[in-house]
Amino acid sequence: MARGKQTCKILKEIRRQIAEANGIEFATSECRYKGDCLGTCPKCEAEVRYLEQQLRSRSLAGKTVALAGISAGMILMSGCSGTSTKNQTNDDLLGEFIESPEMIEEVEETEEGEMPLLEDSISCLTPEINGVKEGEISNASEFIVIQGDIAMEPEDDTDEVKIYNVVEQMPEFPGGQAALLKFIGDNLKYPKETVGCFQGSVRVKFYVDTLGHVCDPQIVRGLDSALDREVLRVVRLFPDFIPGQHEGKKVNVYMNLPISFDPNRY
Amino acid sequence: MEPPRAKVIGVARHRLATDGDGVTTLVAFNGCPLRCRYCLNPQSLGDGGRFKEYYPESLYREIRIDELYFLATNGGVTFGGGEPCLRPEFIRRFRELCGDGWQINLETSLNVPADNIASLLPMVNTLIIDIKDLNPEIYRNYTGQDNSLVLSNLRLIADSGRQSDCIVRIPLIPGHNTNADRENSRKALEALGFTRFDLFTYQIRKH
Repeated sequence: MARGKQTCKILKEIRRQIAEANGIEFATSECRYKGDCLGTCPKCEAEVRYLEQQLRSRSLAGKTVALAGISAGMILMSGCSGTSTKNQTNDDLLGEFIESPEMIEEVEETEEGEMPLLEDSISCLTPEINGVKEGEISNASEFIVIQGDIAMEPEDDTDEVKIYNVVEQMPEFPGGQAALLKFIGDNLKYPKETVGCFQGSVRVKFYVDTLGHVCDPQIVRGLDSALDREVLRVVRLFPDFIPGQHEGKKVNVYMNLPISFDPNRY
Repeated sequence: MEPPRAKVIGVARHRLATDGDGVTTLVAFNGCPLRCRYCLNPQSLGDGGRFKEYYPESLYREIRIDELYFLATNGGVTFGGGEPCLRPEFIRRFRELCGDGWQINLETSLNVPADNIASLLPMVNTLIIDIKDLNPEIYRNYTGQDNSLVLSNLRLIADSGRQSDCIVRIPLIPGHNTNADRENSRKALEALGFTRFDLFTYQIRKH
């Protein structure tokens, strides 16, 4: 899915839930834009303003407005032991702000009601760019002087830092594969709200560090946000693995695990 | 007294579970006491970068556009930077404006005077704390600074019983610390009662 599209989809679902919880008629059409997007656009913003106006008139008419936390379960930040802040919907790095020359002006223009051209806005839609995956950030070089950093090549090939995909001895769950399957079976719960709705597997990726800790679990292929959350919850419960080894040394190793949901089993 | 104002390097909307629960807007302040080798936002350092000056009122007016999402998802604003804990007055005024319905999160190194943390604690919901490494030597090598304020502020948070509102990031910093160092940091934090950790590896920027 194009960058921003997933954000667009989630925000739209939040709007739909707000409308539904308050009995507001809400029709939305599928976005046809194919390229990268901000996750929002004039049409999306207009839907938000429409909802605000409807909620206001409901409130004025003395009706109860349901809003606080009604979509709270949809997006939860990880932040338990052994997690990373990344998830499948978003490649942003926590706290990272990618400077865009257009950013500030863009906000001002929007405030004044002038809709930016879509092509223009794409250039400032890059908070998700991750320097390593997407290549070097364009303005990085000018900061060498500001940071006063003495150039020294990062030692990113040491075994402490490198995360291997294939090694001579893969990390092992204590008790082996059968114990891993049992652990998952004992702990995985089919979220009530999704019983009967989904069947299939969620693929989760994490790495096991040299101390055996499960680090940075991320959903590689999801089914549904509730099921994906459940998988991340269970992966975070994993005890420490026996670390992987390569050329006689303990190393960090990626693991990839499909976890199946079979409604008949839960 | 002159109203608080602050230099902001950027405002990023619609961040989903990246900087706190729910839909959040990241507000990145200019200015930081540290000089970390792999800084994510080096444009927050020094005065040479591009920034915009805000008062709490002007920032609130701009961010309010997403209030519906904040309220529906228990989201809000994450102040990062740079170092947001250098701006307690600004954040206090912002809290008055936005009320209790928004979550206010701080993404901080805690390397600021204790008074700043003491005044911020009652008005924020979550602190995302990047400790770098608790070993003073590793910390100094990586950030150029001493970490005694970080240690005393962690104790201050623990004494206030706010550990469960903190997510403590324990990074593997290429070329600076090892998994064994991280384990030492984690044990020291657990001894203070912190339970929510984020283990990850710093991404190296080729500066």
